Amino acid sequence: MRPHDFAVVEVPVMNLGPVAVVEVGEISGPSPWRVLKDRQIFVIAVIAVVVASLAVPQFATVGNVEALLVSVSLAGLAAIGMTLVVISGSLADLSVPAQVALGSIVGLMLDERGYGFAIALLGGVCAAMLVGLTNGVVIAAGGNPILVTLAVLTVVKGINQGLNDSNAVYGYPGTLKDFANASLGPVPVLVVVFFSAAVAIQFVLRKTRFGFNVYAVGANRSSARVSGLPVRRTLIGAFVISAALAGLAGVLAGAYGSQADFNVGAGYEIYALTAVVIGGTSLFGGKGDAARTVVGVLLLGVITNVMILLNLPTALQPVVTGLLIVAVVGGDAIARRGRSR
Amino acid sequence: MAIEMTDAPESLAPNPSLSISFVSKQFGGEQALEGVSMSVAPGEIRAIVGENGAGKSTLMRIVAGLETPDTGEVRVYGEALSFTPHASRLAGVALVHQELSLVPPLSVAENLALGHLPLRRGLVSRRAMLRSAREIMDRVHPGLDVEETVSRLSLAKRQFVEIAKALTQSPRILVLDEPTATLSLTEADELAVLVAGLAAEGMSVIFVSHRIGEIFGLCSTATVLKDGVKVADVTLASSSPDELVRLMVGRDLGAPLIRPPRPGAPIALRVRNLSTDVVKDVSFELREGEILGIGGLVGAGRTEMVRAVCRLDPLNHGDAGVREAEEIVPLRSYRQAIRLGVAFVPEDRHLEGLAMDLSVGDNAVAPSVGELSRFWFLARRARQRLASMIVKHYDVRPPTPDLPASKLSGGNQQKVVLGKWLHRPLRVLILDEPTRGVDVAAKAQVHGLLKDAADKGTGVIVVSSDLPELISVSDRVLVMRDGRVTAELTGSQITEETVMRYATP
Repeated sequence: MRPHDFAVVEVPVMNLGPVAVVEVGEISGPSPWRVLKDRQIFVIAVIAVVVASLAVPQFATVGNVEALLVSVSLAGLAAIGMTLVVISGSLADLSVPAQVALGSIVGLMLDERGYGFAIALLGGVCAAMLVGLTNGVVIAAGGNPILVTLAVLTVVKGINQGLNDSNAVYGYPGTLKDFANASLGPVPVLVVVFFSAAVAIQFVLRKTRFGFNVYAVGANRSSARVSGLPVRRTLIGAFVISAALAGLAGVLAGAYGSQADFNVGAGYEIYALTAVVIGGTSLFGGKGDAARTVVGVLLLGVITNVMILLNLPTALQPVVTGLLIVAVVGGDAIARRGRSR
Repeated sequence: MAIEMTDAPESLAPNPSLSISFVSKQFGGEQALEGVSMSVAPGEIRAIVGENGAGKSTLMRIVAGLETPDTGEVRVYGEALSFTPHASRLAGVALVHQELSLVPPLSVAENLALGHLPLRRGLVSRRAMLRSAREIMDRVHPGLDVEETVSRLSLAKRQFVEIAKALTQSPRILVLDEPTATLSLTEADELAVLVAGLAAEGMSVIFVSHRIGEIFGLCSTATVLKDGVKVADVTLASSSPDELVRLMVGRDLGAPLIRPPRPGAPIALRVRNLSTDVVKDVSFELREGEILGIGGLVGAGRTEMVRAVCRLDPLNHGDAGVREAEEIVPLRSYRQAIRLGVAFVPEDRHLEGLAMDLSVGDNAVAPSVGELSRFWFLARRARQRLASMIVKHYDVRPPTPDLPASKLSGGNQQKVVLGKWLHRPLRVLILDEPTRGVDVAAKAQVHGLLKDAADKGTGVIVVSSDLPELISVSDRVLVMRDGRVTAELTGSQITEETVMRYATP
């Protein structure tokens, strides 16, 4: 094409009506094989469920499935939040356990003092969000996410211990506990909350401006900045939303078990990160979504559940979880290298 | 006729140092190279030219053992290569990459010694390391302190260190991939002298380049590739730049556009006493519809100046303002500048221009997500429409918004970077090296786009180290040296000689 017959048609952005003539149908989608390859985790999860149902007779019973779902839904909430942080290119939020514990303690303390269901729930969530805000502000200013969240973890852990002189908080028998232990028809409330959060975050990621920014910032922070996207606000948002979900998990955990202390939520960070990574969300940022994390959470749940049903030693569980991360991250790295050759 | 259409490479050189026979390579379904044969004689300086995607880099990667061809063979002094990096290195092939491979926090000497540290009783001998580093740097770029940390060197100096590193392997065939992209004229001349000296000692040098002009000063012969096929071997002494371009592109590019002068157009941008850590007291005005070129050597503060103007980087003193209605509104932040109709196209596509893992479409709509949203929600249809509109109007190939940006060639990536801004109503468009690493045809398209933008009333600032580009595109040129503006050139004053005179001390 010669430069002088290269005419650029002026298309005002504000008025997108007239350009509708451009046919969108020409966009060729990815091939079915690619789609399947991209979604291999979904296939693996289905196979795992089928194998478990065939091999372990107690697995595919209503009672067991319900127990399985309840057992993963709290840490699963934290994993959904962690997904945002990972996609935004901030590696991980290691202060998640402290956020969960803080949420549970503040929630049950408010409950105990008779502030009622809504205030207790909101209070726990907001306390955790403050922690997320701290993480987000420092990391948006350029702090290393691992170091910042690790330091914040230590600080908030201390606060958690100080809050009730290291004693557990038991809350008050009432609405909050009834809510956490209730069922919506056959489905426990905890499970409903987990899946609702997943759907909400999936919607935020795929349909909102903030979601677009999370992917753009995660894929390349510098190019997002040059494109005029609000990089700092996006990073802060990702950490605050992640913390809100961790706080929610905390309040519910405290209410469900009728006890809150600084140990609630221990190990949630590694569990959440495992679920995110197994789901196939890239640790390099810019790729992945909440649906993948749900599959990661369920797959982890199935593995743990089968180990329990088979009466394997409990000590084996963390070993298997850890090995899974090593396998997925290692396999991903090897696949990457193979592609770049 | 200087062109020999030949499939028998042996006819060119009886005892070639490098002979490539019928090499083909497919990537996915795409034929990157098809039956390419060529041979290079000892002491020959050969250019490999072609548009982006013509297969130049793939061919050189095969020679360096980084890719394995599907068919065909490559011989170095008669020995067939087995296509591993190690085998190629042993055979005497050294490749200097486009992407720099130095370790920035280490010194020049340490970088040169990497992989073969001189040992004395099992410990690293610093003295021996410095001595051999000085020996080789004296030859490649005299005066460079080998104890200097690489991260403190300019891109141009790093390029010389890169070449020195390749020479530590004592290669018999030296391949330079786009070596002059960051060099000033004098540095390019220095490189030409170095290469001529190496060739005189019998080393074969292969130059991969987009810059047709410099090839004629540097090389004796050129191999032209087009769409993975060798078009011709050309003896440069009896050829011309126009002929080479025609062979590369398959057609004439047409004369540059002449733009009528626009006297008395209103001011689009006013910069007053701008200073940063590098830039010293720069003031100028840019008029609507004007293309202002910024010339100077790499490191003269051009990039720092324009980045401070749009407030992407901090400034210490002074201000920059954009005219809105009848007033000059000072720029306080980069995002405010964008809202006022300022756009900045950065120098480095990989670092700042595009998110390579995101789709072409997402990259293209990124600056416009605000306009595409109602409240917090992104309008899906409008987003798709805008993405495919940009891809079509700016001739991005392939025109597939869903493709990851990394899959496009350099020229097409640059069209996405331009398109994501140019479809917006702009008052000021600032471009830093807009055609670096872009092929001839895409370059002409980019220039056409700039002129179209200016014709619509946008004030355009172009920073370029490519002098012919600076001269053909600009209505007016500011030359910078050591952070200051040393000259303002208009009309017939704009020549390569005057720009270089004010750019160099």
